[in-house]
Amino acid sequence: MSFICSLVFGQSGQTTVRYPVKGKQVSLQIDEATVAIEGYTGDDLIIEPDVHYPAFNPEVPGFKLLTSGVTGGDNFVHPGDISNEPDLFYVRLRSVYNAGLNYRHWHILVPKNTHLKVAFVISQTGAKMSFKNLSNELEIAGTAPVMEFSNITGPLTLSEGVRNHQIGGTEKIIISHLQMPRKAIGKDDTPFLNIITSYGDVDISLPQSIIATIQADVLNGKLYSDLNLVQQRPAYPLVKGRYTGNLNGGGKMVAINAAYGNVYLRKQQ
Amino acid sequence: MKKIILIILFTSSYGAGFAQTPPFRVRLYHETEPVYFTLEQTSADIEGYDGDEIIVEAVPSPPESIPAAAAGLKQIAVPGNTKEDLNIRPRMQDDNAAMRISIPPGNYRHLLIKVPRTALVFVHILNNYVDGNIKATNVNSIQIEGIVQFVDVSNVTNFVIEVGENWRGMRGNGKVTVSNIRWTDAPVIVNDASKHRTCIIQTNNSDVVLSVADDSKTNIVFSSMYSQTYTNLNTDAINSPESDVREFKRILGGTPLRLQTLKLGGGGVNTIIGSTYGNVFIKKQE
Repeated sequence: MSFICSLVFGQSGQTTVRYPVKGKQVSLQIDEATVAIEGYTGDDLIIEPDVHYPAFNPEVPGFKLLTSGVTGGDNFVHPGDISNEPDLFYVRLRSVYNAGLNYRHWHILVPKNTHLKVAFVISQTGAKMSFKNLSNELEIAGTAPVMEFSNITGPLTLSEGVRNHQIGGTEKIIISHLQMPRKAIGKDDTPFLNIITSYGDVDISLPQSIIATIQADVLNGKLYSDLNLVQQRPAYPLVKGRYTGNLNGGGKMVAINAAYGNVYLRKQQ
Repeated sequence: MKKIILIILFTSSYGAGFAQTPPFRVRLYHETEPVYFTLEQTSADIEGYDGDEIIVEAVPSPPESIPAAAAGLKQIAVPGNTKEDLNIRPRMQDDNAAMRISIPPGNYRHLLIKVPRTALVFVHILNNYVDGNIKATNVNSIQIEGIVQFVDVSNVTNFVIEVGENWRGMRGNGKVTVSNIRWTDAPVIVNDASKHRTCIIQTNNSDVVLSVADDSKTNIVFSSMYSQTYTNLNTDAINSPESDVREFKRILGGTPLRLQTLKLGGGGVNTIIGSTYGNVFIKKQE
């Protein structure tokens, strides 16, 4: 039975909150805030404001500040709905409009082998969502100008856009230092990476030794690479604007659909 | 009885058989008839000129430059990749009180729209491209609403710019630039009727850069919800009087935070600026 348990599992008014999530799938929903999510070896989900985020009221040379909007902030994490089920832990990080947005950037630690789902919407100029050191399945849905993934094992499913299938504002999706687990090697149509974006660019660095099949849909964009891709005959049904190529003979599928963006596939440095 | 003429021009065959369709041309019934454009997934330059026709054509994209991110990489041919053409298929409806021109998306990325200098131009644009932009210059009045990354308006007497809505997707975290305004508080004449003039800029995420002189005749009323407003003008801002608060609420709704007014040149037409997350810069006209 699901239950709302903000009193038990943490409440607003704390600078850091911890939730025991060992063995559970974790689902996060974040609105109008950026997040750096990092896997670690502990058992708790830990959420804290990132105090290193750039300050408000930056000085602009030659200009004076006339007015500033909501600032304030209260140093606290403000979790909204929380649901704790035997196999799933869900928390929503609320936008605390009336208390100020002093902390618009969260640092979140999750047990690194957690199956993680994250949904978010943030569109502020330059806002970035980052995910690193995660060694289980990742399901990402949302929009942010920049999304960055590094040191992940996948599989990663990324559906870029706003809720209700609206077009998102993402400009760039960057994936690097993939840590493909041995079990993932082998021919399989289930994508190891499955990236869908409307207008954003996708930039993926891959190890030269990776055994993979690339399927890139770039109908209105361009595909660039320095990898030793061997183009394959297209599979039926034919899809306009689709490139299929193998790396090291082909294997696990890397599927990218960037209808109006460019796709960059590069050797991992 | 007022004569109503309705023309619906479906030009499905307009572009057939051509590498580029000829420019679309049409005349307004009278000088103060507004023209409404609906643009999808295209950038556009709207330019006032000395003629009396509205002329719309697709223009080639600038020569392709290799993106910085592609340095050291080679381009890979993709079967069926879309090739640019300059075919447009406009639809037009005119009922004597308003001309409506809709340009569906196609295999082009940029339109050049010429209008009489006296034109009252309304544009609804949906452009999700990262580099999407719309520029309007040398027209009487311009209203732009919708989603587009960059907006640049100059040399107009009246402007209303509202970009960055959420309900049809996102974008508009770029910049709105307004400069060289021909300030006046005379009414706007639409279909020979006087309408109250208020200049408006509203963005969700985009920064706003408004260039004005210290002696421009305008009251700039502004609010930044979660961001800042800066100026390099010599004039100081004051807390907005109740009349300005009412005007702000009437036009943009909501409860403005720390609403302030810059009264320039002894005052004049109201310019209302509201941005949720974008910074606002009110800078000296260069």
